[in-house]
Amino acid sequence: MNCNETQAWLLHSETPALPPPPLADHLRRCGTCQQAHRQLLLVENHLQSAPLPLVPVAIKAQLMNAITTTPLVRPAARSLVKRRKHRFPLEHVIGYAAAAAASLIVGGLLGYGYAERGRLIVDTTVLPAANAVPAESPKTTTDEAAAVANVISNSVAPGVAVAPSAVVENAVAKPPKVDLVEAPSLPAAVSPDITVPMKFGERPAADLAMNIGEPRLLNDEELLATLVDSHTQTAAVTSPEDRLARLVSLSDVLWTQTVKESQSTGSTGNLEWLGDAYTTIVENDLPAVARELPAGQQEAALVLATNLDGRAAEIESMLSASTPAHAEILRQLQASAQHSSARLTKKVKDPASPRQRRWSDSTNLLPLVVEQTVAIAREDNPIERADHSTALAESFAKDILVTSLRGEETRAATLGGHFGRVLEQGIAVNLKRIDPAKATYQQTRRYQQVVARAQQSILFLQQSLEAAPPGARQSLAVAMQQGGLAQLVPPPGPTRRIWIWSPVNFRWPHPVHRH
Amino acid sequence: MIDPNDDDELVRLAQAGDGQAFGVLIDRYWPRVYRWLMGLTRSPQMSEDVAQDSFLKAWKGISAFTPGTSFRAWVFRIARNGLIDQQRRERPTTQIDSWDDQTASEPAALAHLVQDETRRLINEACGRLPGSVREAFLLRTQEGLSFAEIAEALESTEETVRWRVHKARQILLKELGPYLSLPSQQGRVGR
Repeated sequence: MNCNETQAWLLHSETPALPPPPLADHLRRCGTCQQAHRQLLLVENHLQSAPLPLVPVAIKAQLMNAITTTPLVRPAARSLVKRRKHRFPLEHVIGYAAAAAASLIVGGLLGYGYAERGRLIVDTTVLPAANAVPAESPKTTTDEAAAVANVISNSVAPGVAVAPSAVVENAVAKPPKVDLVEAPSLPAAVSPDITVPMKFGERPAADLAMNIGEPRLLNDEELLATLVDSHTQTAAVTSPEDRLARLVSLSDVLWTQTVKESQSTGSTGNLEWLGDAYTTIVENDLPAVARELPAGQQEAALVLATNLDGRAAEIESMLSASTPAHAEILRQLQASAQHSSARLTKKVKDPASPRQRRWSDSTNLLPLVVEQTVAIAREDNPIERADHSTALAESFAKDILVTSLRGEETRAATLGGHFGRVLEQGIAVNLKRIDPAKATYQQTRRYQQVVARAQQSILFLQQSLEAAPPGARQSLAVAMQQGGLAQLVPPPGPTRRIWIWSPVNFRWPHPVHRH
Repeated sequence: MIDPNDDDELVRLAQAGDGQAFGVLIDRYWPRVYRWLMGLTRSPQMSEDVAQDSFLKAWKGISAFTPGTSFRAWVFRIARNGLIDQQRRERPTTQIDSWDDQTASEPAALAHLVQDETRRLINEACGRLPGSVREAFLLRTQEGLSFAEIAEALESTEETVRWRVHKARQILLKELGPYLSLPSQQGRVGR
């Protein structure tokens, strides 16, 4: 055994205190490895001996009190039925079947419809409450559309370029939440869990947060929150390995939701784009980002390939229980996972043309978030990454307005929260990575464009607030407050003050390479 | 008679509705869950809230627990999900630089001071580890969970867990190596 092998073992081992004989022999002979071993044990022993608190009496009392008053949640009815099925003798099953058939007939005669019975079954035994299909969102009426058009025409639409210098000159103050000027360093400006690189095989945090056990079908609101999490987490990482891990995590969310939706009796209407998004990400984007991995990290691609093979095998077991239409979608997922795995392990060459994205044409927010997250994962230039988040912020701004006009204050507030997160954790976090001292003229110009575009979205909300009908103002104001833009809400009265958002305290270098 | 050392037996009794048996599990694992959460959040309030909530959830869901699997991995998993939920809802309000600051207040001899200082440095270095790396590393070193159990608790794979522990050790040795290699530190704190 040499030093490299020994030290690799020390770092990797489950029990570094118990080296196997050949390694122990090396440790006895090699001072350097011996020191590393000793230091490692020292660190781990110190952590292990950290004091263990006793359960505080008050907490124990509260818990015991809650336990005595809280009934145990029994396993879901479906699993009970399964167990019973195996336990019951055949003649009992036949007897119950006969009784059930008789009651169906009697029920039918008495006028109980199948639909009613079906709904009862869905509500109580098959789907958990959280899986209930949400009521369809109201469509934008002609009046609403006119109102939106009116408000938009009275404000500066996102995406319309304004001179950055003009915007910057108007700055009079900075809002507290989104102003990151005082942040001492990049990691401190971002919440800790965002900077954490996610590795292969890990389930996304939001997915974990949704339940204790198995992931479930999320409704649109939950899915949007999960996807925004994914977006900000992807925006926070930079290395190809971390970007790949985030992309894997996003594809896991899409895969889970596609499978769950295909197995569900209800539908959130997302099945088609979810499946399309998964297949394009797996076939186009994962192999592309994997190719950027440095030589020493190529094994990550192999881990990913194994992961995808596992997905493909999982689908195989689901096909028999699926309807033909759903089975078709599942087969597409399976084929994509297999193709991607083969490309990652270089068993097949890359296709001449990448798979076409069909899902990104939608005006639905959900696929838009996915699209911009994928774009960030594939991009390593922080300014361009920020620009992708800016595109997302624009979409949120428009949706906030539409939602406010509909009077959906709660949803507007939720969207406002997402908007603020994209500003802070998507745009600003990447713009802060630009070192002013080293920025070229081109970078400086591009930076200004991205900042101006982000400011434009906020300006759009501010002006919408002024132009919106009274019923929508409250929702818009709440949305902006949730987005950390409370100070941007114009105060009542005739005085008009424009507050400008600034991602960083950036001092522009004098351009030296004018072209 | 309850065997307080047998998790499986306690879980079986708890599944049958025995609150006292679950109380023994609380005594056994609440301190560990709390210590682990403290290592992740540095917030006593948040750790306490999440730990308490986790045991309530564990009680409510104990019927769904599969006998024969690791109860402690299961309860850590619930705690982790609770922490993620909590962090999504709010940001920590009270943070302390070092957990030991709360407990190590008594005067001590020089050796203790050196030991305290070493522990403080290790805790600080540990606190700077990326969250996912830290949670796996603390479950391995402090709680003694196997890689398989950690993978179950974090809903990850053994390879990922091994990689994270590897990364944590690498970072800590790099960061603490110069300090730990001082002869005085090895002699005094390496006991």
